[in-house]
Amino acid sequence: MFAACFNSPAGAVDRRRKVFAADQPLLRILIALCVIFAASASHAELVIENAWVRAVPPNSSTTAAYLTLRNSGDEEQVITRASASVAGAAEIHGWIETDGRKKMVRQHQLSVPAGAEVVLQTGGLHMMLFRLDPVPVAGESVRLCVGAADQPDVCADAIVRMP
Amino acid sequence: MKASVWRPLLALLLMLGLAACSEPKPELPVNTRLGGDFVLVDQNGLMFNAEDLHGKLSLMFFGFTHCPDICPATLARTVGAWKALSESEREQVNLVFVTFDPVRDTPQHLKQYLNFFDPSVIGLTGSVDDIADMAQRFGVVYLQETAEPGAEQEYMFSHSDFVYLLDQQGRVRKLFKSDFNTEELIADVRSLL
Repeated sequence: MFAACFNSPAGAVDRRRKVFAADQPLLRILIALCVIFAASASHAELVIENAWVRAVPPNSSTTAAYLTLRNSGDEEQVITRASASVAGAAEIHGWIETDGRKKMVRQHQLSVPAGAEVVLQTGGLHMMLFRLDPVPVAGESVRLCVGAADQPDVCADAIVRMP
Repeated sequence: MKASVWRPLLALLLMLGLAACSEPKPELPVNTRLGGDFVLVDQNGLMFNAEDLHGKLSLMFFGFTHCPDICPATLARTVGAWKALSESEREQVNLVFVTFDPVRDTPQHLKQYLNFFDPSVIGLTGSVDDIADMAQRFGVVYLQETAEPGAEQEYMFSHSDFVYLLDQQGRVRKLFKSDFNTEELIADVRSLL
């Protein structure tokens, strides 16, 4: 498919015109598919792996999600938003330790360098889920999404489990 | 070298090896700088003081229930280590969670929250001053942090994250980081039973 889009022989203008004239509807479909494929190809370079959500008590309003963000592309991806199917809001937080205290700090942007992965795990970077409704139960699945600026969301299903 | 020379040497090495294996683990020292009396309220709304823990070991952790990461993770790990003990051992060990967020962590809220981990977990709350007093005695550092504008929660806490092992007299015997080694914690608990 991708090859069909971009590997047309150079210098074959006349022949291409004939093809375009002869099979215009087919070519239009092909071009449309190429555009869609090209748009999603760069986006698909970022994936969510090993996602899970911490099971919490039924009266909890918050929990945390953990996952690996893998960027197999050759450009940095900067995550600027997060969401979860059971939460009113989701944010990415990290920890800093000062004066013997651990403090959570919101990460408004999270860089996933080209060809690298960023792991969100207990005691480190994590996705905080707020306003749980309903509170997910162990064994259930939660849809987690992250997004880079000007890019569609990347999503994955995360299992809810006890830590 | 003749066999007559090897035999005593091997015997000596074997004895040294056995001695090293059977050397008793040094007793956990009493931490005289931390711990002490406190009066708080448990998850049933009843007064609870330091003496109510006496007679059993205690695994104690300080946190707050709106904490999404370290607090539930540490509670789960601590309860998990406790569950790895035999039934008779578990009967000799208290599990204690002390909140430093009494505004949101009422006794009723604590009870439902802690039941999820295990109904036997003792939840302690109280007045802001009483909790601060106890925390100071145990060397717990925490600070209420006002969230940035637009944040989901009005405030959070930054805090230390130690699990305390108290002996049958309520004396602090060891502190464990929240990512403690479970086998080490179990071995230390058993050393005091």
